[in-house]
Parts: sequence; C-alpha cells; structure tokens
Amino acid sequence: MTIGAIISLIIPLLTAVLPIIQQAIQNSTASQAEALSALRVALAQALSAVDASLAELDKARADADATIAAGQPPA
Amino acid sequence: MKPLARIAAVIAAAILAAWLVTGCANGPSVVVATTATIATVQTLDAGIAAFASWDLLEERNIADKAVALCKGGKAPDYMPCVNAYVSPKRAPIDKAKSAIHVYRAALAAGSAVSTADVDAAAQAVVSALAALGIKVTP
Repeated sequence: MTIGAIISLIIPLLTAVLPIIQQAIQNSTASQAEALSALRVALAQALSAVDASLAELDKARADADATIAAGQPPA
Repeated sequence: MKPLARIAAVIAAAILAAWLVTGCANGPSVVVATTATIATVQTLDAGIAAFASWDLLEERNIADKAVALCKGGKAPDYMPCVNAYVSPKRAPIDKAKSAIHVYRAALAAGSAVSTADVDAAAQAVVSALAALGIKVTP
C-alpha cells in the first residue's frame, strides 16, 4: 500500500471523528462558562454576606469596648 | 482488520487520547471544582453568620465580666486589669476575624482567584471557627 492509500483511509476517519470532538469541546466550554458564571455570582453573594458579618463583629467589639469604658472608675 | 485500517484506527485513537488528555478532559474537572467551591462558600457564609451572632453575646459577656472583675480597684489599675482579662478571651475571636478577612480578600478577587485559593482560605476560617467551638462542615 502507498502513503496515498493510508491517507485515503485516515481522512474519512478524521472526518467522522473531528465533528464529534468539536461538539464535545463546545459543550465543555459552555459548561465551564456556566460554572464560572455561577461561581462569580456565588462569590459576590458570599462577599456581601461576609461584609455584613464583619460589620456585626466590629459593632460587637465596639459595644464591648464602650461597656468597658463606661465601667471605668472615676480618677 | 487490514494493517492499514489498523494504522488509521490507531492514529485516530491517538488524536482522541491527546484531546482527552489536554484540553477537553479539563472541562469536567473545572466544573466539579467550581461546584464544590460554590457549596463551600455558601456553607461558610452560614458558619460566619453564626459566628457573628455568637460573638455578639460573647463580646458582651467578656466585657461585663471584665468590668465586674476590675471596677472595684483604683482607676489607674482598671485598664491593665481589663486588658489582662479581655486579651486572652479575645485572641481566638481575633484569629477567626483575621481568617475571615483573608477569606474576604479571596472572595473579592472574584473569578481572578483560583477555586483552590478560595477553598484554602475557607478552610482556614473553618479551623479558626472550630477553635471557638463553632462547627462548619463545607
């Protein structure tokens, strides 16, 4: 068999396989894009929730410091 | 199978294998890692919120006890007395807050940061909260 004959066998195989690969890549890319989009939303929501909690923590500390200051005996 | 057909099949299989090993095989793992990270941050949000609620009472409790302990003394001794009582009580709380700040920075970086970095920062928060008796299982 010649190289031409080999190529003539490979080309139909690649022709059959490449669209499947292309479709799989497109599906994979779309899944990744969806997942990253969901991640961005989740991170933004988490950031907002963490900021709210940190504000509560700061307020709790400030209130505690105020309680301590109020308890100080007169000089 | 004829030898040439076998060669062609091997080449096609090699192309498929190369594709799987390189680009596309990465896709599902990215999706799985991303989904896991989303679950982690959502669970941790609840844990941090629980910590904030607990801390509100704990800080008040610490302050009240410090005042009760130290108010009977002389004025110059008051703050050293308070600090001696309060500092060790606040240390694990401050450690948890520091971990939360690091975690917040990872969240603020958004998708620019890797899910592994977010997960690592989240794990540090989980450990710090566990030291305070607040159990979070992401």
